[in-house]
Amino acid sequence: MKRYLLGLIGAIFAATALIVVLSPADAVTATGNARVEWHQMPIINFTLTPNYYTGYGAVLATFGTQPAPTHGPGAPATVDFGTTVGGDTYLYKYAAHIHVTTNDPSGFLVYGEAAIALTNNSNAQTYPGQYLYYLNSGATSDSNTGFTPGLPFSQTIGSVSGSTADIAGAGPTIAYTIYPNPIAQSVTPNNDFYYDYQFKVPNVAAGAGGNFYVWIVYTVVGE
Amino acid sequence: MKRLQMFLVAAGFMMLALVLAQPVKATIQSQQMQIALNISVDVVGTPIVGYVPREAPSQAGVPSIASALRRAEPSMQRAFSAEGLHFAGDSTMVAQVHNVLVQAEVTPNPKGTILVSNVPNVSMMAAPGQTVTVQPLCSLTVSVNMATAWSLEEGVATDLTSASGATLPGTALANNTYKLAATPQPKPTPYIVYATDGSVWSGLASGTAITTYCVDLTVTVPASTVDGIYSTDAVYTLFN
Repeated sequence: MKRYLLGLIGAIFAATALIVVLSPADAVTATGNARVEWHQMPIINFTLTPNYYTGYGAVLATFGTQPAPTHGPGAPATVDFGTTVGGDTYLYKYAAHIHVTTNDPSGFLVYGEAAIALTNNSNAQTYPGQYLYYLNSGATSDSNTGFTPGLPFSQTIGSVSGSTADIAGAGPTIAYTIYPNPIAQSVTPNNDFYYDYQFKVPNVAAGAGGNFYVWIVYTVVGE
Repeated sequence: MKRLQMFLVAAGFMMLALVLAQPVKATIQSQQMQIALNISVDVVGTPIVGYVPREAPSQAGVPSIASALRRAEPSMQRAFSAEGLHFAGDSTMVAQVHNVLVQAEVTPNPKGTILVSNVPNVSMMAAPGQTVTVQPLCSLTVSVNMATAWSLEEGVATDLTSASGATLPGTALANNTYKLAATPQPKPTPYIVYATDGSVWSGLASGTAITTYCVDLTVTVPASTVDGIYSTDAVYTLFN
């Protein structure tokens, strides 16, 4: 018992000595300024809503009074022009809404490209070239017609992964080593972009019609 | 004498009928086919030389950190000391990706081959104040595949417009149109603008044989034009 007590007292002394040795000399204090710099990692959230407003659908390019929009059975999950005729041009109203929020005070860039060439799902024939166009629209209205000038979606030279099949679903993504020209730019952290699409239908020979499709991939990057 | 009077009256009616028949004949021509080609002009005011495309980080969204710590000098052991920390490189870009499927049921057009172009669109690049002609010549063709009497009209639908809403006058875009393998015209002709020139097209040609035309586009960009991509539709309409 005595041995135990002596050991305990010794341990207490040893611990106290260690604390004293390891403790900073609190009698001396120092103050200073620390300059800390960091880059905040941008957080980007964006949603893509096809057929974002009532009255979405395709109209044949026409001057004057515009016909009522119609769409194929794939809408509203997809932008489905429905039945089209080779050689004609169609406008698809309220095709896509991009809503972006980010903590990046410099804003962001929007890239939009086709993951694949326009493809006829019926015979797998592809149509390289620019047949699908985008043009600015509004949240609830626009005055676009099939003759309003648009800008073409290019087929990407980036790395495409994911399914490019003609099935609404996850679909493909594009990874870039070098970014193309952006289709839109925002200098504010949050913004909305509304687009109509335009389809210049390729001329197809008799018997070569079918369900044509293309995947459009949007990528949003902080500035 | 009476016979002569009757003959003159009959002749008069015939002359009148002939005169009236001309406009009627002109108006019974009906539209057979119309195609619209997208023309875009990338106006770039700054020299393109030296442009460095933006590169994506090797691992998007994973910032790298460079930092260094060093032992304080003995004389400073009681002073506060810190090294600045900073992120190396510009690798703070984060990408978010979404996609949409676009589809259409395409049916052949029975008249789709009577008026065709070899490409659906033409892209040009020019600086403010420049006049640029698409090269090589005859890279855009428009073909009429009809062996009966036809007439072809042309124009641009609207002025050229950019995504920001800036415009270039449609007449800044001109075409030099000539038969394939023939000599180009001495100078290009500005397009008529349907939206602002009275909703009419201008006559380009007429004929009775299958014909292919070379269309050499020239754009003259006013010096005050702001940078951007401007586009419009060149529209060709075939009547028969």
